[in-house]
Amino acid sequence: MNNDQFKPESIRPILDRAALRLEQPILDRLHAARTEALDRQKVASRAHAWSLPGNFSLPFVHPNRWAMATLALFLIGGAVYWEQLSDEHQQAEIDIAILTDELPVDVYLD
Amino acid sequence: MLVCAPTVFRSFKLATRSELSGFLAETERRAYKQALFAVHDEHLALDIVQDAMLKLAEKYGDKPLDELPMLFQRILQNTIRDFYRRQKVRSIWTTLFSALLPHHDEENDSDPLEILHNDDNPNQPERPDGALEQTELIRHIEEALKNLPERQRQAFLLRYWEEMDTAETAAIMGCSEGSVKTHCSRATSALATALKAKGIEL
Repeated sequence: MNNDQFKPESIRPILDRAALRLEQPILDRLHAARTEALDRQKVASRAHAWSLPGNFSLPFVHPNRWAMATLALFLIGGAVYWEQLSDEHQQAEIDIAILTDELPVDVYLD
Repeated sequence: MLVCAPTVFRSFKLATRSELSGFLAETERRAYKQALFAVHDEHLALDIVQDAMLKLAEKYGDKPLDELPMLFQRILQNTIRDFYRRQKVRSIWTTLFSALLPHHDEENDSDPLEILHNDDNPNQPERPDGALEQTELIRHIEEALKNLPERQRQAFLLRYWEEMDTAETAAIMGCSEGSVKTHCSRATSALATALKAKGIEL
């Protein structure tokens, strides 16, 4: 065999066949190693980005943070609404008292 | 008037768990063989592949799928190189201590009759010729690969088994493309000579 005639690519299918002949204990260990590696896979930190038409884009924020922000917004909104509701309720009570001429003495003390 | 601008959800093609799993499953056997050619020990080779898989998943598990082959090869080759460094340090200590310990020749413990192959013995199990030829061919090629210098074997396997191009191989090995070509040329020549000596034509 002349060295010039030797084609290095011809070794590939032979090595592939050799790789297919691995013994079961080795395959089991490779499988275990793969499973452990997958359990430790790094989760994407910048997987997605929201973009607007043109050159505007919003920085990526993790979905959990969006959920937290939304919850906080609802809580603040709810507190403000509750405060306004109780003010309105007090006001309505005073109006009724004026109409029925049953104002408490405290009103005249201010 | 407030106009609600349509938002466009743009996503990058990142490796999911199943994609990473598929990549590792497809690569792990070749990676094990590469490590085995380098360290000549099954357990060490498995440890090297496991280390490389863990490093890839932990550090680069969020990279796009098409970047994984090069990253994994780079990690694998570095892990093999680390093994050589550790082995070098260990061999220095072993040499120092072995001079102090009594010499024990293991070869004298084995009985040559246990491994002697007797072609004239008709009671020996018959082996199928085709499978035997294939096994012998694989054994000779693997032996020839094991005997190559580390860098030549690395370049050869990356180019012709992993099908990396010269630039990718150079990036993985941390050398110039010219060096890769030289390593591959020498490896090819050495393999051709070794296989020719065994009467193998490819």
